[in-house]
Amino acid sequence: MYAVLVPQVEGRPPDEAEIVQRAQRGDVHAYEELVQRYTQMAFRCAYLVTGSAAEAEDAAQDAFVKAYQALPRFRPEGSFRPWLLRIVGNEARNRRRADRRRAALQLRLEEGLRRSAGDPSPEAQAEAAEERKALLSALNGMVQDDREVIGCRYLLQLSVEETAAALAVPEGTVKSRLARALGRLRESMEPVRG
Amino acid sequence: MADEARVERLLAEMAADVEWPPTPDIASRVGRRIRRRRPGLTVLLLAAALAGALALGTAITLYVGLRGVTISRVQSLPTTPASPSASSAGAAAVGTRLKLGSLYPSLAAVQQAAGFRPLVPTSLGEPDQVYYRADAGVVTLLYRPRPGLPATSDPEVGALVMELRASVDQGSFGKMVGTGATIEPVSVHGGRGYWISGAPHGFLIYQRTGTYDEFRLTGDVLVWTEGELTIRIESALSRDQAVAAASGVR
Repeated sequence: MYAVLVPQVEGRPPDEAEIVQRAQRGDVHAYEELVQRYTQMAFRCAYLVTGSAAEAEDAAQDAFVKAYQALPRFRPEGSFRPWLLRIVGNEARNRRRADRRRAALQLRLEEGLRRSAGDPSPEAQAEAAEERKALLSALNGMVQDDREVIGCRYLLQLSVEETAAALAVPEGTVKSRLARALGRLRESMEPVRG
Repeated sequence: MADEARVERLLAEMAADVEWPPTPDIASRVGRRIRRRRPGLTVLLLAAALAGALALGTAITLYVGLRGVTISRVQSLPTTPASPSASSAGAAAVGTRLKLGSLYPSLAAVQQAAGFRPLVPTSLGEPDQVYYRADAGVVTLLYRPRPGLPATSDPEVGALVMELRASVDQGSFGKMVGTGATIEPVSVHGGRGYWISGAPHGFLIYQRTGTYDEFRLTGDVLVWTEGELTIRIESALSRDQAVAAASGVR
């Protein structure tokens, strides 16, 4: 049966798949919405890889432009975040390779924000602070591969799939690197815990 | 003694306290960069190029930012070769006459042949016939005229929906537009498209060798991109009706 042609009515906020499809059809506003949504994730991921805020900014910006150009090749049934993270990771690694003299990333924590939930005793607070200090020190002392996988998975809270995409390694490699890195972090904390 | 679960919990807590550098305003700069590459500018150049070409009486080929599509404006159209009678026997007579390729029994069958799932305008419903032309990589959904879908200049055709994958060579679709036609950029649910109307214009199917072997006159055409596909609807529908049909492909 032939139906009368009726324009579509949109009555709900578009989800990510819809925004991506609009962007694929050339809607720049839709793509800018995606950029807004993922700028922080892309920038921080690039920062973990390059260790430099300036390089991370350039890498993220170039990655978003390249992703826009590559949008026609993005398969609608796929997930946009890992697809984007793969491009971001590649851009960041290219910059890191170009500047081998750069010092390794040193993460810092904002001071005085964390309270040990449920145990406010001064001793527990002091112990928690020591643990965090030891953990941060161990993290900063890790080899690049381990620090990146821990950073992506726990500090950026990416999924295993997204971490694998960002680091351009198979998911199995992410899991094995995580197990190894967690083991090393645990060992590094043993003197603290006693 | 710290176990790994505790380490994981501490890391998760630490995530909120990491002193990241301030996130820069990347979005506005990305927006400026991609707009410089957009067809909005291309359209302006296209209009200027068209005007210049018409003044000089020359043909010009225009790349309008739709994958697989070029539009050329010429002073006069080639003569349409004599077509076999519209009453040719056989179910595929229209497809043969219009050189749409092989007739397939179903959308599923043509999907298998073409390697992509053809999109169907929900307002038009299931097509009456489905063709696939392998040398050009083009799937065609053929709709017979019916109430609400008037015949085009071809009395056996109500609408032709032709689709090809973006990866097909750029010359797969080609149009030669006579000077009486207008080319109007339109928005197809947020994406870009072009409405070519006002006078019969030529439509070519290019083979992958870069040569064309078909020329015929058509009615009005809406052409746009949809995901990985470039789609055109050729019909006697109005622009708004065609855009509405294009907005409801599934």
